[in-house]
Amino acid sequence: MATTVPDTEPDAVHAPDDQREGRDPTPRLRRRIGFDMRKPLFIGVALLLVWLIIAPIVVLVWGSVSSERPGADGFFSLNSFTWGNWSRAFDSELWEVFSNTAIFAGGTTLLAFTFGAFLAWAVERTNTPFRRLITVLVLARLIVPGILTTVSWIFLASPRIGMINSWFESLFGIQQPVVDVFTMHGMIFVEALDVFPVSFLLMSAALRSMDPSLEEASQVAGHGTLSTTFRVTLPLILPAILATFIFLLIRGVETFETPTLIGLPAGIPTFVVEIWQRTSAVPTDLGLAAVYAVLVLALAIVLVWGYNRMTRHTEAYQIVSGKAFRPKRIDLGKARWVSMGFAALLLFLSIGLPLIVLTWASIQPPFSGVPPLTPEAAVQFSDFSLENYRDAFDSELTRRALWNSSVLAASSATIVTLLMAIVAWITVKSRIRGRALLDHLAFTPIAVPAIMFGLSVLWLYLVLPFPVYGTLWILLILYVARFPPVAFRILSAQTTQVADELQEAAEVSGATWWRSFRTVMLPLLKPGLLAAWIFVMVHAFRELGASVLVSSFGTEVVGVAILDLWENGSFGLLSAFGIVIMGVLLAAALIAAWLSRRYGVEGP
Amino acid sequence: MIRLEGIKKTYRGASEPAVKGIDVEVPDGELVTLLGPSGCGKTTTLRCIAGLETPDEGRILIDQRTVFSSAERIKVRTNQRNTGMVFQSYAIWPHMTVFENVAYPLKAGRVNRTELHSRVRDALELVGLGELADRPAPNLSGGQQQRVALARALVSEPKILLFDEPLSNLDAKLRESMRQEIREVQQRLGIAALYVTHDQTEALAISDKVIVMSQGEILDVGSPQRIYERPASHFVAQFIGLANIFDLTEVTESDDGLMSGRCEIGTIRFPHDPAALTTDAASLVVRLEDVTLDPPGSGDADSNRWPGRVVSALFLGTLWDCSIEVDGARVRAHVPRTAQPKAGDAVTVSIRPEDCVTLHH
Repeated sequence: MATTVPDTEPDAVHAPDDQREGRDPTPRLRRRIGFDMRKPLFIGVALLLVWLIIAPIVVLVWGSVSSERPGADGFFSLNSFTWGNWSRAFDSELWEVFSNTAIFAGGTTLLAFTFGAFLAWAVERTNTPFRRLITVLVLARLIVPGILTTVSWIFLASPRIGMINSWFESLFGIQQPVVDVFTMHGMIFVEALDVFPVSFLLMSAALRSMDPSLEEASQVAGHGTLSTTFRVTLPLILPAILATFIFLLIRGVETFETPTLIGLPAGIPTFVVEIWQRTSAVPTDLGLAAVYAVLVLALAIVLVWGYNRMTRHTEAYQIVSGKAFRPKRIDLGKARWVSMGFAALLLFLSIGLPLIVLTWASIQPPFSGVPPLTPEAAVQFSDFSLENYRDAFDSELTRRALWNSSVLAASSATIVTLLMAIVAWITVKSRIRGRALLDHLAFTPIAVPAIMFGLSVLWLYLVLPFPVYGTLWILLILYVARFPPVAFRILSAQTTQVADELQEAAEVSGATWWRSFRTVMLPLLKPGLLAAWIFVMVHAFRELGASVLVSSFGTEVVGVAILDLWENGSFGLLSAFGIVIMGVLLAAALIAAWLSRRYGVEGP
Repeated sequence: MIRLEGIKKTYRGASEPAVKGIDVEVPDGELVTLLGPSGCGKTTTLRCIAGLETPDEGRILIDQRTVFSSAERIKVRTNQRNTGMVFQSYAIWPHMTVFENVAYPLKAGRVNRTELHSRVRDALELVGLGELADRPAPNLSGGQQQRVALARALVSEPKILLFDEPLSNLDAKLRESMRQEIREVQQRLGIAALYVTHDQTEALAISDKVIVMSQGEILDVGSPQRIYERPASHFVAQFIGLANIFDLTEVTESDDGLMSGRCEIGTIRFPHDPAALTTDAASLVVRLEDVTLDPPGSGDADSNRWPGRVVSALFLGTLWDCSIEVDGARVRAHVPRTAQPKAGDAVTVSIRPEDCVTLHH
């Protein structure tokens, strides 16, 4: 974006002999290094973020109190104002939807936190064997699209076709389904398997950045391991724990895959499913969808407000502790095999089983309907075929989806990273008035649930005469608006680390602000830029919750294509495509890991 | 040449100004130090000259060119001021080699390739780092980084040089050799240099002129020798060097052209100074090395003499730092290594009248 700004701006400098009489004698020259492009850049970036993030929300909120459909002539007319949508919402099964959402999000959070926090503790603080391998596998798990987890667990644990049930039936003759994924418990379990790597990541970062001398001091003072854990370790990481909780709650409220693929057929409506149904299933009720979306937004804002308070706190703690330490590991004795076994079980459930079942389904003959995943079938190798793989590479849909997702992921990651590097600079280093606004703007998207983002962006460009609807541009706009928060956090932390004098030295050496930013700041931010880029890339690639409303024929992304295949019942093709995707992502993850090691980045 | 006229700066949110309208002049070829405790406004002043801070009021001239003027609403940006600056942390860019660091200022000025190479080489030779051009900057010692910073400040042939406590991160030995180098380089180039430090020894050693600052104001300006020998105020006397300061009462003129008065340790004679008669709050400054200790009953007859007892004697290598009790008050003295004083010794404390400097408030 800002690459078009010229290197010098002669008009911005007051020439030495420039006599400017008849003006206010007290100067209003308050910027760090005089007049240059920083202020225009600040205004430009602020306007861009308002446009990307705030404008869609405004349209959506208006949509919730308008009697007209977005895009219709009278949509913006005040005459269309009505509370009708809201009263309809409160007449409907709102309470059931709300309590389902709360139970689902809360249950997922508890389970995913338990999984993730235990693994983080085992890997960072104990002598559990194979710690590095566990870390790598959990992080690899992070990038597998959530819809593949959901689909594979339906294959595994549906009461009729589920592999686990059919094995129990054929091995032990148990007719009744042993496991049933189409329940609230099932939903929570599947979703927890999808999100626990996030809590692992957050908790291990917190555990790693803790100064071990704080614990050592407690031990020297006569406290044992247990007492130290409760009196020192836990209080120190409490902010991180709470922040992780809130982050998981937000994820639970906004997640799309499990509520739609499992909750909908199981008759467990949540907000996301309701919004999805009102906008895409006949008869549509866009006004009601908007009301639900605004309610979810309100819920998320409350959570984010808490999250913000918690993480601000965490950052303060981190500054105290600073660098990466080598904490003393707890010797678990024989119990270390138990903790390793637990990690192995978790990884088996979240990666192993899905991979097995997807591979299995993918080598069935095409269009064979529900794959017969029984032990009897497992020994009859004659029926297997690789045709689904050929289809996966031949099919217009899957090829297009892979291409679209790759292009979108790479370009949105690049744009978001550079934009957030500038925003981070302005908020951390400049003294421009109103810079705190950018901080808030960059953080806002975290409070906007995915499906609401999708809906509001869709409406904004239905209302406005920009020809982006139905093109990749609208998805790019969506992704650039959706992924700033974490990239901003990473980059502002990194920017803080760069001493002011380094850039000042460049300016004293005759460099314009833009040149000093380009030649000094950006190179020094390299680890942060890379971490932010990888983070956005991975999340954009696996994005579904927002894309599902915005993407259309020709602009399908990977998640949407898998959803399409699911709805068409092309399970074999879906599975083959899923396996291909995992292969692509694994390769990308390995390259990323190699790059990170080269540039000394601690995982995204 | 650098000239500051009435520079005033208040940071946003601060109740007191950081700099309270000061005037400074640094002629070409001179090195002037801004000396003062931390928070006295010296670094703010320097940063105003570089353009890194914007004063609220006043005028700044660099080499006859107005780079800032509140009255004329002129402000030249930092990168257009053609200054060389050495920062406290050196601010060596860790992602560049030594050569690239030093070449950076030239790249802004569109210098052609061959000239760029020869000028960077020259600058590195000047600071004795010709060999290290291709080293990555982080692989340098503190002293070498300091030299790179100096070379980078010099390479574009700036009109003025600014130093922001450049030696404060070096160890004592290196500090002494580096300050000589800085002085030599500045003399060779013959340009105006302003040097900020809180280290009075450094200020005395390196400068043509010392400006003592405190709480945003200038307290004294003069040659290092003048500042040391005849400090303008109580604060300056205490801040620079070590001194006994005695409060005077009952000042009278004595027959021998001297004056005499009462202080904490007794009657003392000092050079004639009519102002001491009229002010009621005059005091005397006596440098520690001007106090001599002799065996009881002896000592120079023309000096002020008092009997005393050594309370403590600390051996500092080149001399002894003694604290002596005289009539219930304390006098500090630096005595030669050979004197070998011991705590408890009875001594005669002598101070020559001409070593007493009067201060009036």
